[in-house]
This record gives sequence, structure tokens and C-alpha cells, in this order.
Amino acid sequence: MSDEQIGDYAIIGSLGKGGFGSVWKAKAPSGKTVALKVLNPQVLDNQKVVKKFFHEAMILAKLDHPNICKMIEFFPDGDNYAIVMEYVEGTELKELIQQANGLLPFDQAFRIAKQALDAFQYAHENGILHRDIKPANIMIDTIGNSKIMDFGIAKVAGAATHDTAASMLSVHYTPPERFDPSKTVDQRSDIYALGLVFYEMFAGRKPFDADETSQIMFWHLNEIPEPPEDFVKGLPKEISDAINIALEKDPDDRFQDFREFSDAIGQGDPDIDYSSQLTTDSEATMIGDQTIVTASIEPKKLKKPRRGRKKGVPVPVIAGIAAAVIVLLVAGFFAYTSLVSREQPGVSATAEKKPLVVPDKPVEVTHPKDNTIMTLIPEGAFTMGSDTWDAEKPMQQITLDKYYIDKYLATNNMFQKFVEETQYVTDAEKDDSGMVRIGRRWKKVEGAIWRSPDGTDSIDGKEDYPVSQISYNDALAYCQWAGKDLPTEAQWEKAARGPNGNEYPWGNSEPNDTTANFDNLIGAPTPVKDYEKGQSVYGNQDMAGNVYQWCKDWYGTGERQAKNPTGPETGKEHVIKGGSFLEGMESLRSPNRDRYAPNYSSFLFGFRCACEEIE
Amino acid sequence: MSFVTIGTASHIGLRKEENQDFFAYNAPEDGTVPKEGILLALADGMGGRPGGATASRIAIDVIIEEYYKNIESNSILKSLNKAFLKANEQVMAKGDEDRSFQGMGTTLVVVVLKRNKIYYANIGDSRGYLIHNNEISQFTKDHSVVADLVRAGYITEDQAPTYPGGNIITKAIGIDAELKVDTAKNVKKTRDGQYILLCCDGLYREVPDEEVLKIVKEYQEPDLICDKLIEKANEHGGDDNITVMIAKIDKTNRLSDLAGRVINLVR
Repeated sequence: MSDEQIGDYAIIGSLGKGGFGSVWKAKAPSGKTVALKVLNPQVLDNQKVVKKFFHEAMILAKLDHPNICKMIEFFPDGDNYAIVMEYVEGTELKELIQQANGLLPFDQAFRIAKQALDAFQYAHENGILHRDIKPANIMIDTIGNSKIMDFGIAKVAGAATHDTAASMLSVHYTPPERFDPSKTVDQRSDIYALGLVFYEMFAGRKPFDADETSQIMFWHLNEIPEPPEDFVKGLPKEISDAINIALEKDPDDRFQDFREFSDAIGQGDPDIDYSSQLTTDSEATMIGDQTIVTASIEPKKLKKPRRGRKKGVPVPVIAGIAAAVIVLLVAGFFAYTSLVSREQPGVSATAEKKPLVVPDKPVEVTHPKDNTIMTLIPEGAFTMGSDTWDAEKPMQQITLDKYYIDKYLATNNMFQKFVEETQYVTDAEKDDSGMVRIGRRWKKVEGAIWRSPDGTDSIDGKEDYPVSQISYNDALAYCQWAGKDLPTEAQWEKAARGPNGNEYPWGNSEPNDTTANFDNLIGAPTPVKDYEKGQSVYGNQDMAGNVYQWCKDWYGTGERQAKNPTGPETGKEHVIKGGSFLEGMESLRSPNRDRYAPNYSSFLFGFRCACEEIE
Repeated sequence: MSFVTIGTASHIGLRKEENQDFFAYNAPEDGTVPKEGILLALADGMGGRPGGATASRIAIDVIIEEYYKNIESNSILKSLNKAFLKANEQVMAKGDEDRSFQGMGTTLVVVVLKRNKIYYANIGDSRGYLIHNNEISQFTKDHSVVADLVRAGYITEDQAPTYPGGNIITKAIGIDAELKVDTAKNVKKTRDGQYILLCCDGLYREVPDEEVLKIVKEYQEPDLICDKLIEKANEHGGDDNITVMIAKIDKTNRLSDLAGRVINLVR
């Protein structure tokens, strides 16, 4: 297998084999080492389950926590599916426990416990259950940090059955409610399984152990375990009690979330920092024995982990500047203590480049056909393009006649009315599939049409979200029905960046989570009125992020007409602008542009209309 | 002297695209019974194509080869255990060698008839039954979640057949390197007029024990019984592959003309 290639990844060697498939050490095209899990084909026989997993994979790929093994992407590989994960050098907790002959040193166990609880709380806050917590799924890296692996994978395999798959149930870490399919499995089931793992770490033995699986099941269902403190002299009572609460038979009697569990086990030794230690310079730059780290942006929905901090030291929050993290080098195994503060929303450290020409107060008009609010963009010049990228060159003064452009993106509700009236069938509907990005890979997904842009989630209840999974042809058809047109690229760009040639609709500061839906922070489109703070000087919203927007022009490069440019006469692809909820800040720059064929439909593509006159 | 008559049948069923079951038994052509005994083995493969069928075939091939190669005359059960572990190893090795076979597995139930004794071992939920006079009883232990829940006292035997997740097994050949094989706790004695039935879940999920018993009593001859059982399973829906093997213990060699199919078992 070592000469093999799976997708874009070159296999280096085997990392093992589990119930769901095999795990390989592999090299990504970037040269980065990754772990690649190939799911057994029979695990994925059930297409409905695979579809669900695709959906969950998108959330999994966004989990970003120091104690969760990062999922990078998920892609089909022949009949199999491969999950690409962060490669973690270290030892499975299972092996550590075996090597320690059961009982781990207290500080090590406490550190693992605290980090695991933080990671699971974070995952559950983001709607992800693990469903297969066991020591073999907790990796301890080379400096002692926990890394939880295989989030959500058990869900796929759990649906497999005897005749379609090697469906195996390991009963050692199975909560009692799992034996009754009519009962709900939620985070409290994960809490039970983690309680069993902690029992092993702190008591040096499993609470229920026998060769007969029926005996173990019986104990799970009926037996109250002996308190761990009975086996280990000096084990803090709060830890022993907390483990027993986690192992209550009735989920209602357990901790209701991981934070409660974490609080109950206490703080450990006040002189020890149990939080994750930094391992690379990707987050930190060493300056002597101090390190300054720029804090990441707080995503709107994807909650950031609570980082641990040394007790008694206040967390600095410095308004008006990008916050810093100070990492103090301390001696011994626990090398660093990290303190994190958050960037203040909407505040930028980047200075504006030019004096602003402030336009008059935006003029808004309601269009009579589709009742959209349109903003008036007055006649005049603006700076189009940039010198940054060849595709954006040249930077040019362009003059446009006055025009109107939709203040908001076209919504599902608007498109629904259009379809009802015209019986229009979109390009994706003709094909019953559209493009969806899973991890870093694009895939044509069956059923991905404007009514369910990612092929899984329906737009029901999302009337005010931008319509997406829309081709150029679809967008143009709507605009023409509404007595409007698609904006030319120049019209779009002027509406976005204003007369001053701003880099972004709101100015020249980089986007953040209050100005745009971008960088996969939320992982899905958001209602078209959500980012008022990111509107352009003319009042247009979502000119950066949320979904890409089609422009009328065929794609071309080079010098444009100085007045009212409309792009090349012919072409193969049309321009799209604005970036999307998945793209990073570069794509959100107003001069940024991309291009696609007129019938290309993607869950990232939507539109807004423009017109020269309103009757 | 008793004689053993063996009948077998396997059918794809009415819903599956492939028969992933496999079975075999040793049938010395000269009619003599080897001192190692007569071995009957049945496997129900799991996994997508081509995994399941491959796993069951490998398991059966290996079990027969290994059992007779490494027989320990004083311990049939030890030999069976070793052969099971070898089969497990070989199925796993095939998965390692070729990714399209990864994760395949199989159940395996094996009976050895030697002198007047019935030795057995099993993994998964394929079963062995003893049928005598008006009684039918399962002598193997299912390795399935539902069977464990019955043993744990959580559900009753009556609830088991319809309890959700009935087809989730807890052990299989080819999945876990640390396999613990269930070998017979109580070796059974053969009795004249007794039938030993090996079958996969494609039979017992469709045909209730009473109907099996009725068919055995009505048709008496192993081959005929096997055909009728498959017919009946398909009448009931034929949701899965169906494989049955029957060994009939008899005092008289009534079918001795069927060389290789009727074996005298020296007492």
C-alpha cells in the first residue's frame, strides 16, 4: 500500500485498522503529513446515511479546537470514502493506560480529563455528538495534549447492519440507553462514555469488565459502580463523585453538559496549568521568553473554545486594538501558559489609505415588480480593478451612468414567487444535481438544487436567506422576469466599493464576523439583512461574503472601456463577484473576480439585479 | 455403529443481489470416518461486494484446512479454536492486502462429529440446532446485541425476534485481531434419529422453530429437508441469503448407496 495514492494523497504507511476502516499516514500535495481514514465500503452502503454524514462532515470540518483532531476533508475514493484528518504524533490513551498498568499519574490524568471535557463541550455547543468515546479515540500528543478523534464517524457505522456491514458494537463504553433504540441518545450519552474512560484513568480499572458481553451489558443497565476513590487512596473525592454522577443510569441524573462535569472535577493543582500547550509556531511567535499571538476572530455561531488560564491571573481585554496572547515560558513539561483575549468586533488596526469621498445619503426605491429595495447609484466615476492581481488589472477610473441595484441579495422567497409564476426550471433542477463543496473538495451532489442548495438541507423556513445553487442563466431569467437585468461587473463593483475605490464595501479594514459572513465561520448562508454593519457606502448589503453574485459580463481581462463598460462581446464564462460564506478575506475584496460557465450551478452562487430606470 | 447422512442447500433469497453465504463439510470418498471426525462449517459473509462472499469463502477454506492440518487428538475444541483464529487472521490479512476487501467479515459456525460426540464452536449469529423427536433446541450462542440483552435480562426471549437492532452482531471473523472464540461448554452426545442443523439467520429469521421441526419430521431426509427449508424461507419473504446444512444420525445405513454423503460413525 505504501506506493499507493488515495485522492491527492500519497500513502506513506499504515497507522492501523478499526471497525470503520483503515487509517493511513499520508502526504498531502502541500507536503503536509495527514492521517487518512478510509471507511469500509460496506459501512457506507447506506446512501441515506452517507448523505447525512456529508452534511455533518461540513460541520466537522469546521470544528477548530486545540484538543480535537482536525478534520480536513471528506471525499469519495472509488467505492470508498476517505476522511482526511490532522496527523497527530503521539500515543492513544488506550496504550497509555496499558503502559501505566491501569493507573495514570494523577496530573497527567487530570490534564487529559480537563482538555477532553473542554473539547467535548465545544463540539456539543456546535451540535456534534461523538457517539464512540473510548480510550482508543483519545490521542495524547508528544507534549501531553489530548486530541479527540473520530467525531461523528460512529453515526455512519451505527446505521450499518449485519447484512450490509460488519456492524460491531463495543459494549465497554456503551451507555445503558443505547440498548433501547426508542430512547434518545444525546450529549449525556457521551458523558457516560467519558465517565467510563475517566474511571479507568483515575481508578486504574474498568468499572465493568468481563469476557461475556451480556454480563457487561447487565452491569451497564443495573449495577452502580464502586466509587473510584475506593481503589485509589488519596483520589480527590470531587473527582470520584463526579465520575459516579457521569455514570448514573438515568441521563437526567447525569451532568447535563460537559461544562458541569468539568466544574465538578475541580481545578486540580493550582500551580499547574492543564490547558493545551502550544506545539508549533503557527499560533505563536517567540520573542525571548515571551510570545505574542494575534487572537483569532470570534465566529458568530461556531463558538470558540474556552481556553484554560493560570489561576489568579486576569485575562486582559484591550479595547481598540487587536488583542494579544502572552505565553509565558515556564519550566518543565508544562511549558507554556496561554492567555487569550478577543478581538473587538468591528474595530480595525489597519489605517484607512485615502481621504473619503462621502456620498450623499443613500437613496432607496422599491421596485414595483418584485418589491425589492433598490439603491440608487448616482452617475459618476469610481476606481475599478486593482494592481494586486493580473485578473484585476488595470486599476482604472471608470464612469458610469446612474443605475439602481438591489440593496439585498435575491432571496429564496423572491425566487419562489418567480418560479411559481413562470414554472421556471433551474439548470441544477434539469440535472437534479449541483456543485457542493465538502471539505476542500467539490462534488456534484444529487438533489442539490435551489430548494436544497447543499442537497441535504431544505430552504424551508429560510425565506429571507439568499437563493443559491443558481446558475447565470437562472439569475438572468429572474432579473428579466422582474423587468431588470444582472449588473455589469462595473455596476456591481461600484455599488460595492463606492467612489473611492475601497478594498471592501465598508472601507479598507479587513472583514470580521460583524461585517461579513465569510471564511467558513458559520458554514452556511445567513439572512440577507444580517450584516448591516458591512454595507457599502450606498447601503448595499452582502457585497462581500454570504454568496457569490453573478454579473452580466463575459469574463475578460485588460483595459476596460472608460464609460459604462460591459465586458467582452462573447465568451465562455461570466464574472462572479463578492466571495462567499466559505471564502477567506481575499475573495471578499471588491475588485476580486472569478468566472464560471453560464449553466454552472453552485451552492455558493446567488445574485442581485440591477436596472437603469424604474418605471 | 451409527451413520451420518448430510444434506445441504444454499439460496440467494429473494432480496439480495449476491449469495454471501458459504459452507462445506469433509466427506471422505471411501465412506470411512477420519479419526479427526467429520467437520461441517457454515459462514454468512458480511460486507459489500465482493467482501462478504470472499470472507465467508476464506473462513470456510481455512477452517477445514487448518483443522485437519493441526488436529490435536486429545482436544478437538483446542484444534477448533486454533482453526478459528487462523481463519480470523486470514480474512483480516485479505482486507489488509486489498482495500476493496477492508472491513469484510463473516459469521462462522462449525460442528465436528467424532465418535458419539458433537463438538462445536461459533462466532456471530449463525446457529446450530439439535432436533430430536419433537424437540428443537439451539446449542450455539448468538453473538448479537439482542441475544446479549436477553442474557442480561433486559428483554425477554419473546421480545428478541422483533427487538430493533436484531441484526447487529458483537463478534465476527475478520474484524478484531483479539478474537475470543466460543467453543462448546458442554460437548453433546449424538443420539440415533437426531438431526443437527446448521443455518444462517436467513433461515431462522424467516421460519419459526416449530415450522422447521415440522418440515424435518415430514421430509426426514437431509437433502429434502434442506430444500424444503429454503422453499419455506422464501415463502416467508426470503429477505436474506439462506443456507442450511443437516446431519442426520441414524442407526442403519439406509442411504449407503450415496457414497460420500453417508458416513458411518464408528462408536
